[in-house]
Amino acid sequence: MDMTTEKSKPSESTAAFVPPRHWIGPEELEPGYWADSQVREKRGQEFFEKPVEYLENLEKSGKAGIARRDFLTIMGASMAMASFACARRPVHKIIPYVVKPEEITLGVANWYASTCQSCACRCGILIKTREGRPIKLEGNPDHPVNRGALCVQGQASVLSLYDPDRLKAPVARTRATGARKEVTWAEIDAAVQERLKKAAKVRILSGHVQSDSTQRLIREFLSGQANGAHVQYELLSFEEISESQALSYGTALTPSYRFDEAELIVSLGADFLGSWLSPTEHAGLWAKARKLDSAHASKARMSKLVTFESTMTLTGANSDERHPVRPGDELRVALAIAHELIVTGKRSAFAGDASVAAALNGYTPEAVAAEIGLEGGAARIKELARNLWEKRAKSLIVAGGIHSKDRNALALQVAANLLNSALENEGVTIDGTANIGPARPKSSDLAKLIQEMNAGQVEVLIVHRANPAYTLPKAAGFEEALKKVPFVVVIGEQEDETALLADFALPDHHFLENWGDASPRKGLFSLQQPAIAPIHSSRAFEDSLLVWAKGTGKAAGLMGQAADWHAYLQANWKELQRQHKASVTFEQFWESALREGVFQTAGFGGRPSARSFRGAALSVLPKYAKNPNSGISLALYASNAIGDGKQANNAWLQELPDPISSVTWDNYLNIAPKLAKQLGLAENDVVEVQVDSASIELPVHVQPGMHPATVSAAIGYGRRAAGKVGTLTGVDVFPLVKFEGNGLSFSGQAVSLKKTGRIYKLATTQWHTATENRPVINDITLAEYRRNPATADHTDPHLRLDTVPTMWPEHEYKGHRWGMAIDLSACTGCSACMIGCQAENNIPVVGRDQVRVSRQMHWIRVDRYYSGSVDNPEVVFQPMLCQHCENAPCETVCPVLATVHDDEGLNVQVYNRCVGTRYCQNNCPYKVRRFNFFDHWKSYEGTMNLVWNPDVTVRTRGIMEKCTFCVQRIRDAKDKAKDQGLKVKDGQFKTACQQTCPTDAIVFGDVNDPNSRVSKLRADARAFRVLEVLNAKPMISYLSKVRNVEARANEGGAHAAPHHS
Amino acid sequence: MSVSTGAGSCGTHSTLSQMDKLMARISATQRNLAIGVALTVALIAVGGLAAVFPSASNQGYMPEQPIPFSHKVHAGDNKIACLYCHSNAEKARHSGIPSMNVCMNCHTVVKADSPHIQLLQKMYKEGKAFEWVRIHELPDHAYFNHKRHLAKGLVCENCHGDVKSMDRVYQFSPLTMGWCMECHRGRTTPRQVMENIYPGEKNPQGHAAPTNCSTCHN
Repeated sequence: MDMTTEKSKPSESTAAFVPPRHWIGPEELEPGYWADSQVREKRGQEFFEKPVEYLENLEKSGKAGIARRDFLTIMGASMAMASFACARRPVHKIIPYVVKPEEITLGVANWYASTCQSCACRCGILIKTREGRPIKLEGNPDHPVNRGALCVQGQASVLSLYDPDRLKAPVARTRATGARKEVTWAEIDAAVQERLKKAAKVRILSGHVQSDSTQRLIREFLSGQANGAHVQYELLSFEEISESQALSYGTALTPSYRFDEAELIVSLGADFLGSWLSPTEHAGLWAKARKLDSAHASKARMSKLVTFESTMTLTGANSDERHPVRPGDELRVALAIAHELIVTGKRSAFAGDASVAAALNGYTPEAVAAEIGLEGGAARIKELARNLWEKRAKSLIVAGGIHSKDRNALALQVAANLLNSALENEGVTIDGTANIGPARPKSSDLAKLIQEMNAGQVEVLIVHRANPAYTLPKAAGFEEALKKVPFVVVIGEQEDETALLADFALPDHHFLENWGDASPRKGLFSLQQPAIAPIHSSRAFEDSLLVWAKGTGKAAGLMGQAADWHAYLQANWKELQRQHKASVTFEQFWESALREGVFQTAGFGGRPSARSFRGAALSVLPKYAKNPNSGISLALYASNAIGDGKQANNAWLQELPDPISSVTWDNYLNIAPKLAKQLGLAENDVVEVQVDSASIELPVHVQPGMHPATVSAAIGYGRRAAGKVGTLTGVDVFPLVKFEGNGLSFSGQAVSLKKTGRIYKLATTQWHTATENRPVINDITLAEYRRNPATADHTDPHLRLDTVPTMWPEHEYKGHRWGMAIDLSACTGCSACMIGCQAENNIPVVGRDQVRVSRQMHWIRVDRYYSGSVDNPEVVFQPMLCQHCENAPCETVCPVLATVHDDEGLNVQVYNRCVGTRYCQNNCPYKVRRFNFFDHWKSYEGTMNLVWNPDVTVRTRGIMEKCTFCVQRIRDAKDKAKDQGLKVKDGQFKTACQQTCPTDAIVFGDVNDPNSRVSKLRADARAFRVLEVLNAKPMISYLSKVRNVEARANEGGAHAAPHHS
Repeated sequence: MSVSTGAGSCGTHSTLSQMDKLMARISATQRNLAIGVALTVALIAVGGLAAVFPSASNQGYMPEQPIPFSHKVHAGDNKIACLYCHSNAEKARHSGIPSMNVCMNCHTVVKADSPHIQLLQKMYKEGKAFEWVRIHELPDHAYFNHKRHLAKGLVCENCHGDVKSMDRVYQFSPLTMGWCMECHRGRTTPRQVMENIYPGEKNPQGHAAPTNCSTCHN
């Protein structure tokens, strides 16, 4: 099949492979860009401002910070102090335990299995604790959802545990004046119980409760209260999926998607690798169907991903074929495919069904392709329909998500269901029996609650882990309605926007301090246990309910028997044990669940069975109509780091560069290069974004791959009460969300843009550590790979290395020699490795201003490169970290031998030798060395200091640092092996980045062991080393990116601009 | 063909030009004088510091402790094994200071009339612990592992001296990097350790342990 419509492909046998040209920003595509010496100078700088200039600028700008003169004074003073400090040895105290807990050995980590609650996925985690404090989270390899991987939000949640801005004690607030007062739990309990006794209507408003036990507790609590009801509201609820399942198949549930079984995946706005349902799980499954082994290259198979989306997401970036569309067009495309398949093609069980044909009336590929301006036209839709039919029962259609959630969100899901049923995927790649989680919240319930509140009927409102004062547009009227509720209690970790409007704000435990459970799949139970005693005087939400139920004499059901939440949880699990595992005692069952973190019933994980599609569901499909909005449409989306904004106060997540845009610390308006040009907008221009009467101001980011009539922005920013880090970081886009009837409509609104003339400099890392147009990636098509997998033939001739004599004697490695292999085809760019590394290696945050001048400290970064046209580029991600070069350029220039080789091949950085010349950094071709311009660790205040990993030195100002290949983990593995008189075995330990990677893209090990995984991967025909021509001999091999396309649009074209040398 | 290894000069040019401008403003004599004065001050400072602090070591450091706990009485006279109290040394990096309940294993009955022991009992009852003054302290970037050293056959006395005879413990060894390295290189390594490393050799010579930076630092 020929995927391209233009540009004839050179005949296979004769044409030499021409590698695609990768670029970082659209400006590079202007002719002669790299020929300009000024450009080369500018882009070649690793640091944009010298420290003194930086301080002078601060002085000029009059901004808070240290002015230059003060800085010099402080420097002088601290030098003098430092000299005096040597005169007296600082006296340190050792305070032993009074009674040492039996399980603690000083200096040895304890691990506890638990369940992550950062988002709704409920992945299994292992909590690493040292001397009783959690310092790192890792995915639980035995958990069937995430299989050892963990996403950025999960990795970062250990920092949220120590967030100094957490609500520390119960707070009472006079709502009229806002006067705030700390109160005791006893006072709270008395006040709440008195209210509960009198109240005629009690409501609990919570986020999506994924725990069976908590659900039951809430039910039992409310059964004792007058007229009690539980309402759930979750911003990223995906309610339209379960609702459409009810319409299409009879039962409201969220199916499990088997991306590993699908050979052709079509995503209609579903960012399943970034923010849709269970991205960590999906990424693992998706990558499984794309693994390549060059020993069988000629028969290589990989699944193909085709995406239609309204903003550039991780899923789009990883697609083999991507089509930028406007929000709402996803539905038109879905129905056009269905029309072609069922009506025109007369295929599938629905062929000849008059009601289906009627529902699809008008959605012809020709009409839709013309309406949405699809690249490839109607032929592309027809071909896709044909390909899907060829791959029936082996394909998968996924749809929906925030950036496609317009008025027709439900119809889009029904269309996807119709397609999946027509293509016989139902029951094969879609598992309708493995219901994901308990019933999803419905925003219609919330709408009803707001009505009741407005009518003055609700007398007591208890809000738990929901923040409607922030996550709803003003038009929803929540705040006004709240004023009519006489008694409001908010229970949560933060004193958030909603808590500020309540009578009482009560601190809840962080999930690392609390008991709990979750059932992420039908038949799968995941246990959550505390790994640290509560840091503040918080109390579990569940315990509060228990106390109040007992205090009012209304402790129904299990509540009556349980002294506290832990006992309640056990009582509920006792029933589980009686039902599923009666062969063992409860103690055995409980211990085993605690140890494993998860319990699977016999019914879990079986083969799914097909359900039959109900034609009645088609009634929700809209009649074919053109997009009424001829102007620009808005798409809102959830970024993979900040998500719905719950963890907005987490500095690790704020400073994580967005994998697509490379911007940190802010949200922004994505605009297509074409539209930017048309409106006279450039990067960093502030524009007024108006939807109806609501308007906000956002800085512009020119994003290749955006649809020219669509702009997009991330939700979750601009929190008004998140804490020191998150408050007013970025812009709140909820004013642009529409609350229509029963639900929220995030995307598809007509939007008008107005240039304000102001500039806001986004802290982007896009041009930091740029390669100055030197090709660093091998990027080939599957067809080419099948024909000839050898990397050398695909490498840019400028980069090939012929054998050269070496000036240095070869190092000798008698024992281990550590190396790494990174599969660019598997890397989705999710950046979990970056946060995993940050937590493991005590990497500080530097703040927005320092990122602007290229001083972020990440040891591993994920470089994003584009290729092809600026309107719809292909994307490739490249994790870049210290390459531990054999002939390391950094080592030869260090005047004080602070960076040297060790006898296992590690390039080590010796902090106590380093004097901060930065020569090494200047000479590093990979730009992976990071310099401490300030004592960044000092930004960790109070409880945050508990998150440091005691096995890794916290670096001070003035020294260089970089990836160590997790030398502390190597040492720990050797220590354990030596205890048993053995050598370290392959796979016995993983580096932090490797451990958390959902797609197994990173493999680390001993290259001296010919049987190790890393040795085999380094010998794969796809393996190449970056900038090999320099003869630095890096110890990291990359495996070529392979795309499942027959030919590239630009292949053999005029893209091979000369690389400067 | 050549590809430069660095991404350019990191802006050295503009720094230089700033220096040039500065230098142009002051005369050569002034400049020489300034450099001379600066060098003299630096020399005096370095010389002075070196005279006052001959070594970075804290060898001999013998601080007063919250109660006059005597290692001589415990390890010497009463022959309590070091590892009875410092049991963590066999299991991990740190040797550990015994928790209060270890003291109370004996002192619920032993010498209960001493005011110091009474203080111990009182604190234990109240759930408090002594704040011992730390004697042996390595810099934060050095990762010494007690377990590995014991496993190779070192005994406590090799580094900590004859604690059995010390009423108040002091730092016996310099604990400087040079001192560590001499032992790792096999020059000052105790004989029993060398015999473990080179079994069967009569007069074992050679390296005793790795001397990579990454052996102890990360």
